[in-house]
Amino acid sequence: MRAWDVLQRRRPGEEWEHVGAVKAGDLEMALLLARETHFRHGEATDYAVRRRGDTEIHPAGDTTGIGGVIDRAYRRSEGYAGVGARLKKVHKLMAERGLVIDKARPPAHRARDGEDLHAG
Amino acid sequence: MTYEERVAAFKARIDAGEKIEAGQWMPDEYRQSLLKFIEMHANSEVMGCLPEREWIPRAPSLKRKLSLTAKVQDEAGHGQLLYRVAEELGKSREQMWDDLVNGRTKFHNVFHYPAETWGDVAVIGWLIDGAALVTQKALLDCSYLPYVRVMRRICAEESVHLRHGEELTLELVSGTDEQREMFQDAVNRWWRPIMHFFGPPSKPDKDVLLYWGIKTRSNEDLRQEFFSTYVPKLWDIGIAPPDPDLRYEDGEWIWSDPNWDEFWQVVKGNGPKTKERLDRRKQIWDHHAWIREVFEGAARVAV
Amino acid sequence: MPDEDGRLSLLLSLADDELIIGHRHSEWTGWAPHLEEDIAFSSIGQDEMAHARLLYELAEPLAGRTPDELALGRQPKEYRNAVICERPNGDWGYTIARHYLYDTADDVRTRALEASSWSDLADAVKVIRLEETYHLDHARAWFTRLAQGPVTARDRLTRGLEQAVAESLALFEAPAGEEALLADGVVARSSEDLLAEWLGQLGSDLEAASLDYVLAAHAPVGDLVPTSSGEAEERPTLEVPGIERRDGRWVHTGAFAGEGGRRGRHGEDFQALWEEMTALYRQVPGASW
Repeated sequence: MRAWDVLQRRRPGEEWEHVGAVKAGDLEMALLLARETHFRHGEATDYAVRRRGDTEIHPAGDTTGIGGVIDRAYRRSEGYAGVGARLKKVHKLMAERGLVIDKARPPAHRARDGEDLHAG
Repeated sequence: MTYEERVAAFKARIDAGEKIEAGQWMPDEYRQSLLKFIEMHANSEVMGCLPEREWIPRAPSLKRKLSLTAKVQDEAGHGQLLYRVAEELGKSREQMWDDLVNGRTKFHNVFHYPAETWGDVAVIGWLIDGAALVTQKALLDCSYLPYVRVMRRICAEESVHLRHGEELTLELVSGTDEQREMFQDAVNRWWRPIMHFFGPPSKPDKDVLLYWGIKTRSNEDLRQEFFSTYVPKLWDIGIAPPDPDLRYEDGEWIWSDPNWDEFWQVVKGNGPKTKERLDRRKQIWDHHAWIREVFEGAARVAV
Repeated sequence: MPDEDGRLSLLLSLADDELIIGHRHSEWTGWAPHLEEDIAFSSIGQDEMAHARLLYELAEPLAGRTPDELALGRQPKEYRNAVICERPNGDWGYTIARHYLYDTADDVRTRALEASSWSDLADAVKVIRLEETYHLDHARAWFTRLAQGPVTARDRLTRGLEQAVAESLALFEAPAGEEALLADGVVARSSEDLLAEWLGQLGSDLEAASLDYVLAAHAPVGDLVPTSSGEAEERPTLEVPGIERRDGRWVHTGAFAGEGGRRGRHGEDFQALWEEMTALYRQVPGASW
């Protein structure tokens, strides 16, 4: 089964950028599968595939609906924007109920989770 | 240059913080260690789908039905990305999948266990993903760039999963007594596998992966970071890990040494759910050989 | 639940179809036979469940129940999905056959609903159809590759179609109160009319793939049959299923196989699905998750 390189670009005329690959038996399947494998989170709307070993690039053409049309907040970071604040509220609630476990902990530890790694 | 000289020069570059690109020359030992490591990582992502996906049909709201499906979908996606990197190092995905379903290769211990309740879904989504994220962020400093690039994408998606898991947790701990109990019970059952997840405290000078800059931090270092990140949060929401000795003292976390026999048994393939899950994967793989034939362009029926 | 309102009945029929088939599609997540396909099919399953949610939101003021209450809080006999949706996934051959039949049928009915006089529904359907384009492309791509593929692949598809085709006609079993909806223009075309269109199209597609014998296998047995005496003896017409070829086109006659889904008549497959789908929701009533 051949690998097909998957390419994206933000605007027509820009250079294609390699983002990964898919395994598929033919061009049409490669385009169908690449769409959800690499662009289901709205990473790009303009994409193409190129069979491994070939030079020809095959743009996807019509990409209606790519990345979803209906609200997809449940699978994007903006859907969880309030979670940190929520943790603080629940902490306060637990404190009021006397349920917080008050043991020694590292000083002012800043959790590294939640960093925006798209910027990295 | 002799082979040994090339290897020494390569090692010097790694030690100087240089990164290796796809297609560049690499020592056999580097390639093999890297391939094995990434293959196990890929296996873990696809096997990691299986505990949580048991709750997709049973999710208690439409929003969670959707979000859990999306999360498991992402794990499959991570497997897809990682197998691709591994393939570039010289082993086909078909071969890797065949080895996995036939029990010849390994995957992380935590994915050999069942997800018994919705509390488990929250624990997996928050604490296990949290543990994984700690190790995965360390991999951003890996010496092999194709892996680093994929890790950036994985870490970005895992950060969303983490918030999702945190949200599930917060609903449970601030919900009914039954829901709180569900979460605490899950923490009690999952704590030891999470301790095992980071691996036994390793000897850095004997660690091949550290030697080649594939891993950049020790097991214990990562486990300590996990404690610092998650234990205070658990305490703040009134949840106690089931380790009575767990405490922060003199700048480090003290914790009870877990039973490592269980760990070794599990990663050898004797976990509670190992056989059932691999058998099912194998059954689906073997049964659907006809799909692979379609994709290979096997002889078509004249219509 | 009171159901004098044909609009509620229509919404629940559509929403329940989408929820139940989305539920079935999502059962492949993590297990599908090809990794990229696992991802693609999972998106399709999520889309269907998201469409269900959208339609339940429209139904909320009519039913006096929230989307979650509608999706997870009803009794089995209150669900209006066609039974084809509740059948277990089987292997990939059945899954693709059903995916193809469902999405081509859904395309016909949603296209007609774009012309609904009820603008909220028309708007929802327009958005739904933007996502359904991919489903259709996906289903057709698989259908073609299996139909034209190696012998085993074609065989698997055929078996899937044989199992699924009869019950898929009942996707066009009319919801209660359709007459009034036609009068209002909430639906522009009757279910029977849409079924005729879909069946004609299906017949052409299957003929093009030399798979139309799948339809022929379901011809009613009520035809005149010559006896050994040479006299034609009329046999009682079987109620189900009713597909026959008339004037070069495939048409529906008689009743539906799997009839009654739209009136809440479901069997063991649905019971098992419902128990699994709703157990946790019902276990802690009113809880927030």
